[in-house]
Amino acid sequence: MLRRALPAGILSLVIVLILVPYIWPQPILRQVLTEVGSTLLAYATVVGFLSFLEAHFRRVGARGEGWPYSLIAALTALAVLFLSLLEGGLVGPWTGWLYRYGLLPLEASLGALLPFFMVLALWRMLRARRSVYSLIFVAGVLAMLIIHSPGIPIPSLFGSFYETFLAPLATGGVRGLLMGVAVGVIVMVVRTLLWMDQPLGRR
Amino acid sequence: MTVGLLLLSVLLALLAARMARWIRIPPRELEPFRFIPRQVGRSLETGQPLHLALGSGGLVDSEAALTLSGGRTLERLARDVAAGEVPPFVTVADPVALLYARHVLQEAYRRQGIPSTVPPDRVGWMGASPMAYAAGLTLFLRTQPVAASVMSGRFREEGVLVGEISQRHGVRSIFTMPDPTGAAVLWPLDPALAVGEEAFAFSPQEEIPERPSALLLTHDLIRWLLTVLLVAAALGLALRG
Repeated sequence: MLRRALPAGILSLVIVLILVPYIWPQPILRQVLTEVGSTLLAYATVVGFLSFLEAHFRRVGARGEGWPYSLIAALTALAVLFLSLLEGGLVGPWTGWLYRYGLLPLEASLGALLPFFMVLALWRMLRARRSVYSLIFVAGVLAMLIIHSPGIPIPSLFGSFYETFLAPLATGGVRGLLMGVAVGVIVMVVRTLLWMDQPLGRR
Repeated sequence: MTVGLLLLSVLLALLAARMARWIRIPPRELEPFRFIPRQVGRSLETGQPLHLALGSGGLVDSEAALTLSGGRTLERLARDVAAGEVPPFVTVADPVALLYARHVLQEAYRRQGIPSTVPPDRVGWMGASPMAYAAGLTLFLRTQPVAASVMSGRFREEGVLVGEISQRHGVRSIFTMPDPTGAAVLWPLDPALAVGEEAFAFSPQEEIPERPSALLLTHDLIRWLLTVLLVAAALGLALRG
């Protein structure tokens, strides 16, 4: 009984503590909660990093499928770790250089590919099924491509149409969805608070 | 205002828990959640594991609720597949979510009386940023055969990368997207995906057929109440001039 009740009780207490600053503003409590969260995150990162290395080295040892990628991932992670330790943190010149000229360009390149993936998804959808909704989606993707195309006068012509007709519909739709998400979050918090759900997996 | 909303929610949750025993209307159909038990069966039959991507969110930040919406799916999956010997793959982008996912899997196996620990490669930390996570997932789906892939949690535009790659490799994909951006980019891949509030409507407990769950009933009650309040406020403002 205690084994079940203790984690659920602690979770309910934490939920109440987190809600308190929203109802009764207490900067100190908010700061304490933030610090506790940051400390937890720091320890979890160490455990996560060790788990990451263990999983990848295990795959390399077993010569599982894709093991060369695992080897590269684990060795790169270790190299960055040692570099950070040598420079006393993640703000040193070499780690900064790696971040600026390695990680950021890679992520930006991947981000730049997303419109192509979007168009590819659209093409697949049109091959599989055509409906009114798919036409609206085609219009959306075309609008995105037109608005973000540099050096052509269409965006300025399209701009007023977008602001007058499309933006209110899109904003309204997104706001509706976000309100639905808020409902979902409130229900989840209340159910956890009342022990109807136990996200720690004990029931 | 906040206190009132919380009190109202508590009251409605209790009311719905009570009413769910008496109301005899079929629960609303949510396509993705209907497919998940089927995919669990398929995984157990074929011996291929399921994959659950918990998204790029964490559990200590302000968007923890989005990750926990995927956590519900994880709890149910872990419990259902624990009967077999094929633990699912869970991929995360946050170290706290990694510990959470590992705990849920181990707890599910412990309850089945299986004392062995979950292999470390079953819960993977794929990348610390959303884009790195998406890149890691594409590699994972290319190298690891899975029965189905469930994407449930915080995904934004990078979700299309993962969804497209999983479809290219013929992996059956199920999307439950609380974030509107993630839902928008994944819609062409599966128009029946769970969007917004629907992503929170997956019950980790057993549901009884032909009886609405208290969870869905609470969602619906609050949703209709909110709609009525908004319409009333809009009408009031319009009439006042």
